[in-house]
Parts: sequence; structure tokens; C-alpha cells
Amino acid sequence: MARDLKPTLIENTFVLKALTENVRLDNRSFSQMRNLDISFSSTEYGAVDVHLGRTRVIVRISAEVTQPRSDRPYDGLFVISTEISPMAAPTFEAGRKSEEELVISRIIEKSIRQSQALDTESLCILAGEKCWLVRADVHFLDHDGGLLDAGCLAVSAALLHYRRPEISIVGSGDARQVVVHPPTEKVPVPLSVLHVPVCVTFSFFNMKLAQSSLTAATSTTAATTPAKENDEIDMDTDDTDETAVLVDASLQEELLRHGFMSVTSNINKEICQIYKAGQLAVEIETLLSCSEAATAVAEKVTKLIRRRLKEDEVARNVGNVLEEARAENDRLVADEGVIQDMNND
Amino acid sequence: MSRPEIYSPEGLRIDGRRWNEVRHIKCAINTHPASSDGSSIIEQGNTKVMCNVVGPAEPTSSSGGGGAKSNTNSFANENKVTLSVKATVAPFSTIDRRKRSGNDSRIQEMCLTIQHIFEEAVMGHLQPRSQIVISLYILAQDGGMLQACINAASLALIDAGIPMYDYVCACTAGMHDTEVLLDLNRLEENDMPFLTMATLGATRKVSLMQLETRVGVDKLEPMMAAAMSGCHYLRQIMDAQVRKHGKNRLARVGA
Amino acid sequence: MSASIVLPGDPIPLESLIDFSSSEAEPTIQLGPGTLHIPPSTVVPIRAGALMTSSSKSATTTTIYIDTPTGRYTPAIHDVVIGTVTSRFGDLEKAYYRISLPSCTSPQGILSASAFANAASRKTRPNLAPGTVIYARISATSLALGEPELECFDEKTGKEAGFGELKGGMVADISVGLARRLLLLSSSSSFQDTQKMSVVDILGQSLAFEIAVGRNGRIWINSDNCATTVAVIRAIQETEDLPYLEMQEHVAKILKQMRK
Repeated sequence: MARDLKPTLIENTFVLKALTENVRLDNRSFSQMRNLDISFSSTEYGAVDVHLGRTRVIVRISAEVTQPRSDRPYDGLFVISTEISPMAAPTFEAGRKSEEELVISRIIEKSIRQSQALDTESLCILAGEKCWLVRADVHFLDHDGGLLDAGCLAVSAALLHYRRPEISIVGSGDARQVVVHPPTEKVPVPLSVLHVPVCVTFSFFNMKLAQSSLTAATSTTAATTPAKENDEIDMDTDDTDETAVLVDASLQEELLRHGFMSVTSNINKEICQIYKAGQLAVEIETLLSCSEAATAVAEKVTKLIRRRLKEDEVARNVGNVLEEARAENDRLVADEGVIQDMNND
Repeated sequence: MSRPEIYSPEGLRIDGRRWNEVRHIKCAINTHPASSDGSSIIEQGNTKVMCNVVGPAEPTSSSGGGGAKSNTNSFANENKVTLSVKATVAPFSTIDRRKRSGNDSRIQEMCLTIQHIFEEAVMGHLQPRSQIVISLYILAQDGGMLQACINAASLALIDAGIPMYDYVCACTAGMHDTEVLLDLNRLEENDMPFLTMATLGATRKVSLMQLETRVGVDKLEPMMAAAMSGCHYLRQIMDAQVRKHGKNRLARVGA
Repeated sequence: MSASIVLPGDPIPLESLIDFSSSEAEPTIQLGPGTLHIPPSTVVPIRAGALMTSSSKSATTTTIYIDTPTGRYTPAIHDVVIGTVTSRFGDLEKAYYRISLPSCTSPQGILSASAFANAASRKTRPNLAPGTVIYARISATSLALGEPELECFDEKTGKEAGFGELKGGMVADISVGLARRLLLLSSSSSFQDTQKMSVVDILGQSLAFEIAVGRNGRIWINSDNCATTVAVIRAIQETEDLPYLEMQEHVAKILKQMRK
């Protein structure tokens, strides 16, 4: 079903009217997310496939050794590329940055890079000379709303899943060289991920507008001007129940909403980023409760990511290969063994 | 050299303010009557922003907005005014003088944000198929660039006589350990998590809220409350300035 | 009714489809969409899909066509479609609307403001705002014409016959194939003998709603409350690929969720 059209007037009216009756088009409750599925590539590290309802995002992490920036010699580099191709929806043009793409790339950037989810100092190999460049390529494959939320959690999950090749430094002084070991030689190492940011978008609908458009629809067909006048008057009157808040809007809801707020938070009850840029002005209390709700969602999503990671690890670890390939000793077990030996003596 | 103390035990900040004091504000409207339909200049401490508004006028094809093909998602807001926001950051606005490229994604995002704020604050349906161009010139940066831009745009739109629901006033608030600080300067911004908030006049309705640094969710509420009171205070100051200007004009007409 | 998958280039075994032995009358073969006649007597498919045959009442004429799940609808004369008004052009005397047709090979159609039932005087002509949804019939289309022309009245009677602006309710997208099947099941009686009701009929047994199906893969539903409308749309969208029994179960499940 090609969605290349703007929502029609009756869709606009119906979605608002349904919200007054507490109905969403896919039968979800207002605070319910769509089905979320995260799967990892069975052959590679750092490739994740996220389905959020019918929205689908793939993220691939890669790393290479480069030179650090001269003003930050102790930091590695971390780049997130979020280009939306026409593959996601025919409305996106290749090569031309749309408004939506700008917002998505900026929020993902703030959520993950600026919040220091990846410890860039740990990517430093030789100060001022060599460091890792970690790249996250986000591919939006199918667009049914929530590209931002799906993209953000896909990057988080992929960073957790990725293993970079082990390196060693040979030689000394000016003759120092960095040797990158292929996975067959040394076991790849995980990245130092400090926290797992999860982005949740809340969509706001002005229910005053819903009522006025309903009266306009029932009275006469050409009643667009009276409706406008109604909402002018309504601006002054106070009503607590004037904004409907939806979690994880579908594309149709996204196109019809009057405003939104994206909150990125993590399982430690920290807010990493809040983005509410204009559009419908919402009561401060609503925003606060949304931020708190976001941390609850983040906790749930993080637990799902961790569970999927564990399942993936079990699937990879057939025949206990990881245990055998491990370099470090299991201290606790060894100590206990010694103690037991002493007791036996 | 030891680092300056952000917040002294006596309750004084780097520039001698208390926690709930905003920086010195100087603002004026109708500063460029010849070049634009509405103009303003605002100084919040050492941050200085100038704003020009042209419109409502026929959409020009060069400005990209292109009237009929406005970036509306739904047929429902087809007949609204098109806003276009441009921001120029002066090369001399920071201590290290450098030329800034026009397509910095941070500036683009800010323009988009300001556009979305005023699309809601301006009564767009009264001027269908027309365009308002808001040009911002950031002359000096010392923290709170976004808030100064929003306040400047608000004043310039009022000066241009464009119908609006209310002022949009913006203010920042930060959290230093457990202390809330209002209206941060650049040094303070770099040192602590802070949020920028814009409200529709003196109401509790929040048009913009942005936070870009990590902070515990329990610290959000005091920051939001402080920022909101800051917004309401700024509205008073801006309102007083606009009224003064209006009185002067009336006096001139009357004389 | 038989169904086997054919691909372009496959032979169509006419002998096995049509009974040539009955000597009462010469059997006539009607070639439907997706087939090509190569003289003298070869018929080949030009699309991939299920090979379908249907016999008319006279039983001597057999129609062969290929049922293909196309993503796009090719406009054909007298088909009903659901479109959206995008703009208006022309002067007051001769006004036209540009209608966007989703999932149609030609994305736009033209509807004359006088192609309505009560369009005799300018006062009674409907004034449609951009974004209005209309139910219309294709009155003219050809490759040379480009954009298909639409009309909003029954040309035989000159009456409104349900065409025109769709007020209230909700539109939803379905596949072009499903839209065709829904229209086929509602119009022709020859399929009733299969004892299988369409999803719309099943829903109609327990819910009261209005429905309009456009050949271009768009449906319009209206009912007393939004929950019913949403349930009907979901039932139609979600049961497309289900076998008959599972479809019944799924519809029952949706109805149960709705009444909860």
C-alpha cells in the first residue's frame, strides 16, 4: 500500500473523533507501543534488524583505525549516519535532506553521541596518532511512523552487540605500529557502552480542535471559517483534558498530530535528551508526566534488548567456543578451587 | 589558575547573580524600520541577537517555501501562512573568530524549531497563501542563543503587526548539583545540564522544551519550574519595552 | 472455478479448461485481462498469477483471465474509484477538480464540476475543498487521453446513485486485488454458490455500517461510532490473506476486542 498522499479531511476528522472516544486506529491504548522485535545478524557483530510495527530499521556498526582529531587527541571518533532513502517511503528524496531527516539525525546524534553512550576515550589507541573510528550506518527500510524511536534503539542495540577487532601495539618509540588481529586470531572485544539510550516519542493532539472540527463537520460542509473562530475563543478557556497524548504514533497519526515531544532516557532514570520544538503548546504538567513515562518505557525496552542479546550469545556459543577462546582467567572459580584444595589437605 | 567557582557557598554565581536572577536584559523594537516590516534587538547579558521580519507577503520562489507547495502534512492546514526562518551567526560572535558555514545542522535545527514555534503562535489562518520571513543575526554568543533568538523573533513579529495569540518567551535553567540556576551564561552552560523552555505568554503552556545533556529525571521538575518562572518574568520585561515604544509613538502622533 | 498458477510464456491448456465435446453450440471463449491471443488458436498469459475461468449463464461462453495481485490499478471505463480532491482549476463556468487516485497507474483524474447529479445551475453544484474524498466512476479513459475523466452520477438515470462527496466516516487502503474481489462478490450472483461469504457480509451480520469500495484499493466506512468503523477496517485489512475458516475466527476476535 503506497502511502504517498497527504491524509484527507475525513481522515483528519475521524482520527480526532476516534481519540475523543478513546479509540486508536490499530486498536492500541494511548500509551501502548506497537510490537517491537529486535534481531541480530547470526554471522556478523553489530548488525541489528528492528521491527516496530511495520516500521523497519537496520543498523550496521563498523570500525576502522584512523587518526584522531588534532583538538581531541585522547578521543576516538564516533559517527552516526542517518540518511533516509526513498526506500523508506516515496516521499523521501535521495540526496536531499528533508526536514524530517534533519530532526531525526539531530535527535539520534544528541541521544547517543552527545549523551556519551559510547565511551569515545576508550577508542583511543595511541594518543594523537591512532584511534578507532566507529561508524553506525542507520538504514530506514520501511516507514510506518516512529523512524526516530526505532532508529535510536537500533543504534543502541547494535553498539551493545558489536565486537571490534582486538589490536596490539608492536615496536617502540617512532617505530610503533598498530596490528589489527582478525577474529580468527584473537577474540574481538566489545565496545565500552556506558548506558543504553532509548528514545520515546509522544504525539500531542489538540482535542479542542477535535471538538470544533466535529461541530463543523456536522453543521455544514463549508464551515471551515467558523471552526477557526471557535478555536480562537477556546484558547483562553482552561480545560484539563484538552491534549491527547499518544505513545509511538503510526505514520497516519504522525501526519495528523499537532505536536510531539521526543524524550531519550535510560534504565538509570536519566534523561539524555528532550526535544519539543514548537507546534502545539502543552501544559507543563503533561510534559513532566511524559518524561517520567519515558523512563518506564526505556526500562522495558532496555530489558528486551538485553534479553535478545543474551539469546543471541547463547545461539552463537554453540559448543562453548566463547569460553574456550577467552583470554582472561575466571578468578572467582580459581580462588574457590584453591580454597577447596586447602581444605582437603 | 584555578577554575572560577560556578556557584559559591554564599549563593553567588560567576557574574555575581543569585540563583533566580536573570541576566541584564536590554531590548528594543523597530530598530530597522527601513529594511523590514518588523525588527528587534535583544541583549541578554552578553548574548546579542538582532531580528528582522518581512511579511506577510507573497511567497517568493527563491525562498524555497513556494506558497502552494508548503511543507504541510495534511490538507487541514493547507491555508496557513508559510514561515521561513534564517539565522546567521556572525564570525565575531564568539571569542575565537571563525567563519561559519551556512549549513551547520545545529543552526538548521534551530531555525526549524523557531519556525514550528511561531507557526503555532502566529494566527496563520488569517494570512493564507502568504509568507513571513524571519531573519536572525546572532551578533554575540554568551549562552542561551536559542532563547535569545526566540525572544527576538517574538518582539520583531509584534513590531511587524502580525496577529499572534501571545508573546513566546524563552528562558534557560540549569542544575548545579542540587541547585537550580536560572538563565545560564556560556561558562555555566558548559558546566551543567540545562534546559531551554519557551512558553506561550504567561500561561503554563509550553511551546518548546529542549534538553541536550544527561540529567536525572527527578531533577527535571525543579528545572522546568524555574525556567517557566523565568519565561514569565521575561514576558513582563519585553511587554514593558513594547508598551514604552508604543507610548512614544502615540505621543509623537498626538503632538 | 479452477485456479492454477501461470507465468508469462506458459501455455494455457484450453482443452482442459473448456469442454469442446458438447455439440449443442460452439463454445465461445472470452479473453479477460492478462491473456493474449496469438492467432490462430494459441492463448498465452502475459502476467503471472492465478488462471481463472468463469462461465456465464448461457454456459457456452467461458471467460479466461489471470488474477494478479498488482500493486496498481489500471483505470477502466465504468469502474468505481475513491479519490481525493487536490485542487480546482478552470473558470467559474467550466470548473474542474483535480482528483488524486491512490494506487492508480495514472495518479490523477479530472472531475468536471458539472459532472454531478444536480449540476444544472451553478448554485446547486457542490463546492469541494482540497482534501475532500469523493466516490466517482470513470467515464472516459484511454492511453491517448492520459488522465482519466470521472463523473459523480449514474449516467443511465442521471441520479446521484451514491456518488459524490463522502461525508464522515473513514477511508483506508487495501490491496487492489482485494478491492476487486470485494466488488465482484457483492455484484455477481454466480459466486454465491461457493457458500462462502465475503468478509463484508460476515461483518454485516453483526454490525451496522456503510461501505464504499473503490477499485483503486481504497475503502470508505461509516458507522455510528468510531470503534465499529475501526473494527470493520481492521477486519477487512487483516483478513485478506487468511483462509476462509481463519478469516471467520479473526473477524470474531476483532469483534470481541471491540465489544470489550
